[in-house]
Amino acid sequence: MIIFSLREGWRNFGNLGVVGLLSLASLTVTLSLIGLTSRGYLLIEDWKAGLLGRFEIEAFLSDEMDSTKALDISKNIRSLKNIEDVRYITKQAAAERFEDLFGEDIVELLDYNPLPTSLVISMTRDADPFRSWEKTSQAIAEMPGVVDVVYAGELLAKVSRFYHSTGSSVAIVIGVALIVSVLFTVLSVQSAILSRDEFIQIVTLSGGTSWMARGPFVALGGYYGLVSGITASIVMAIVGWFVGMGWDVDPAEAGLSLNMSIRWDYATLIAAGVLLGMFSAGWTASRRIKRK
Amino acid sequence: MADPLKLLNITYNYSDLSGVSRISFEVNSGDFTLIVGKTGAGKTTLLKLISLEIVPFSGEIILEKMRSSEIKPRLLPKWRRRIGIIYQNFRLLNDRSALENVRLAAVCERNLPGRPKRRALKALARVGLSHKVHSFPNELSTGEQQRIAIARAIVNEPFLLLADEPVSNLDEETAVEIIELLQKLNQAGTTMLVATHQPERFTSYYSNTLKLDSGRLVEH
Repeated sequence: MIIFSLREGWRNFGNLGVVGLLSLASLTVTLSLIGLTSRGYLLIEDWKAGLLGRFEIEAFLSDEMDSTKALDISKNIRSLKNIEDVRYITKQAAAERFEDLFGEDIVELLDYNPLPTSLVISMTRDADPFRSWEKTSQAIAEMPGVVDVVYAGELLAKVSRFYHSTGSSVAIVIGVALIVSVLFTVLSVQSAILSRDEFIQIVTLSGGTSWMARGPFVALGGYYGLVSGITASIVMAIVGWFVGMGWDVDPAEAGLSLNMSIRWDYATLIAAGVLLGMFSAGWTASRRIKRK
Repeated sequence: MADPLKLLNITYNYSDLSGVSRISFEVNSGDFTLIVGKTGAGKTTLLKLISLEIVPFSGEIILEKMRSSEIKPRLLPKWRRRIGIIYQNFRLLNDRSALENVRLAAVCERNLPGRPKRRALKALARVGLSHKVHSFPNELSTGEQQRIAIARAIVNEPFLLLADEPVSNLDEETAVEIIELLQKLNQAGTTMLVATHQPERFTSYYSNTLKLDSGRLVEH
């Protein structure tokens, strides 16, 4: 039965018309977009994780704070969400950091140490760079003994906005491309069904099952998906070669948990194409070829 | 087997109210029955009803103990595998060879011994087209095309063969050849139900005649 469907589907594929070509083209565009986006997503996650790893929130404490009180505040901070680590910076350590940064010993320069003690807080990688960081810094600023909280809020907000707006735009583009490709596949399979009406009649009146009449058209959708998936994989490989992007990004290295990460290799893309084509075609065939 | 095909008070109407009304008859195993009548008398409708291409509004068709009123869609193939159909316009697929046309019908029946291709070759041999198995329909004469259609109809070894105006598109000489072929198949045990508006062409051989007029059975 499967061989029959594949053979007859291939015969239909051989009679590819204009709508069939449009279906192939749109499926290829959609699959290329999905493939490139998934690669891009890993790259952006990698870049974001690297970027966020360099930023920290610094909470400056009032002069009355000794190490015991600072430890209490540190515990309170640790109880907040998305906190990875809290380090206590003494006045002396702050002076050393100052010297490291600016090459001057501030104690020697002023005869006293004006730098406050502080707590340096690093956030977990999955924390939203805008909302989580802002919320956390506000919560820390409201804690007694904290006089000021600084972090690269504006930059992180820009990163976050870019991330979210790009994500939404890409999702919309993929959604539209998906609808267009499904539409063309449906139209193409419909026209194949119309042109093969005699075939359907002969099969059903010769005692063929419903699946025998529909199967070749489902297979046709599968062929569309297969060819489009292969073409999209080639497109991805070419784009990767041209752009020189790090196609070999490891999801784990990009900070993605195992559940979140999907390894979009070429085989997955081709399989996705085949499934997309088969489902579109199957839906059309079940609507167009009524059991009679 | 007695009464392999029985029609009981079958009625079917198209939107213009033409069709068939209260038709009842029986066909016995091995019969060669002609359904005669003018164009529009309801002959084709009757054949479509027997193959359940259309479903009767009322009445019942009994085919080898299967009842049309009890046939569920998933059992339709089983019903149709017991029938072979020969169409007036042959209904051959022009993009495939004689062998492929017959093989297409053969793959619809998996319960018979032998591979579909082998059975298709055998059916083509029975209609005398062994030498043209790889020819395409448009490379063949109308008589040869009708032979392919007959091979396709008999490839699944149906007990009943329905033929809708099988010789009306053929010249006298070819028509005689096709009628002789149908007679040969009948002698080999296949029950025949042939719709025609030219009964005189079959005078030499048939056992029963059903005469239709305006959708009613007027002579049995």
